[in-house]
Parts: sequence; structure tokens; C-alpha cells
Amino acid sequence: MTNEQITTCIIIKSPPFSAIDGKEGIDLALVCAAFDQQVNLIFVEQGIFHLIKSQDSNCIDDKLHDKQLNAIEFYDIDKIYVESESLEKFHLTEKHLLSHVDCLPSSDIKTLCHSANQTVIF
Amino acid sequence: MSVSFTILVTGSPTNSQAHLSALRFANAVIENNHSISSVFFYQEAVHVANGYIIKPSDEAQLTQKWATLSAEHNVELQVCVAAANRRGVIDANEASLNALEHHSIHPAFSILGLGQFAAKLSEAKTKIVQFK
Repeated sequence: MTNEQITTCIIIKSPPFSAIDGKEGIDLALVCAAFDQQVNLIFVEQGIFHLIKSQDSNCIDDKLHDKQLNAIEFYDIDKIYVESESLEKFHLTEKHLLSHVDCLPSSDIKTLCHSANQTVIF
Repeated sequence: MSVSFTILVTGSPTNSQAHLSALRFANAVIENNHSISSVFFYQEAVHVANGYIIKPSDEAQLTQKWATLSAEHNVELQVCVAAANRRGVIDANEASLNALEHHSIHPAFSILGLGQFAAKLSEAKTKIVQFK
């Protein structure tokens, strides 16, 4: 079996500022992509706040990693998925998010994870 | 058929049940004649590799339990370098690179890059089980 056939789902459900989980999850996604895996980076629940555009690092006195998320297509992560139920829950729509994300209902996300070789949750 | 497992621990040793569950799982794997390819510690889980942890003697000594599992069954305990460095779990090499007087990692654990774990995922020869 070659590397091309390996699919890894990385699910980010932690919020961006109160925990480091999201950043460490994205780091793993980038490394997996560097190893030629097909990476599905999936944001659910409070994890969707990672994708809000125009965040201001002056407000948190620390570095933001939205630049890393914007650059993600250069790392061979083709798709960023967002669970649409999570967006609805927080009264957000696709227009609040970075441009290169795909919204999917949770049933489709479940299918993605079932067809992947492995899933890691952050 | 014997199955090979890679155990990923991401939960904190002080604020989660991850390590106790992972250790139980690891022992069950071995008792049932399956095998453990390696144990990889990421996120808050890296704290367990700190050699300076002192816990009351009647509580579960997680660092020691992992060390015993590793010694008795030849299981490698791998700690992510980036996650460990930001939490003060560093080996002698890292201490010397940063002109620090001491290192803090327990000798049963080894520091490796996240790439090592990603490579394991790429092999797809083992089942990944995460404890968080």
C-alpha cells in the first residue's frame, strides 16, 4: 500500500484561544500532509472559531495561527471542512469564515471519518 | 490474528483519565497476544515524561507504570519534541542546545519529532488508538 492511499481525518473541536489543542492539531495535520497523506481537516463545535476571518492578535497579546490556516493549501491539505450544524449553533454562516472552507452536514463528516484510515481528535 | 497497535496519548496525566485507560488498554493488548508498535505522547500527555514528578506514594505512579511497561515488553515510549519543549520536558541534548543547566526527561522516554508519528500513520500497518 502506498502513502497516497492513506487518509487521515484530523478533527478540531477545541476553541482557538483557551486551549492549545487546535494549534497542535493543525501542526499534526501539516506534518501528515508532508508525509503525502490525504488529510481531511475538520472543524466542529467551538473549533469553528479557528476559521473566523479578520481576527486581531492585538487583542490577545499572542500569536494567531490564522496565517497558517490561510497557507494550508500550500501544504497539500486540499480541503478544510466545517460542520454546518456547529455554524448554525453559533449563528454563523460561511461568509464569516476564511474563504477556502467547505461546509458539510454532520452525516457527511461521519462518512468522511468512516472511510479514512484513521481519525485523531483535538 | 495478531493485531499491532500504536497508542496515541494526548490527555493530561493530572487532569484526565487518559494515562490510566491507556495503560489498561496496553496491558490488555499484550495479555491477548497482540502487540504494541509504540506509544506516542502528544499535547498535555508529554508531562508524564517529566522525571521530576513527585506524587504521594499511595497514588498511581504513571511515569513509573509506563517505564515498567516499556522495560517488560520492549515498548518504545516516544514524546513529541515540540509539545515537550513548550512544557519543559527536555532531554540532555535540548538542554545543552539552549544552554540550560538541567534536563528533565525520564530515562524511559525518548524525544522524537511529530514526523515520526506521521510516518507511523503513513505505514497503515498498525491501528491507532487515541486516549485523550
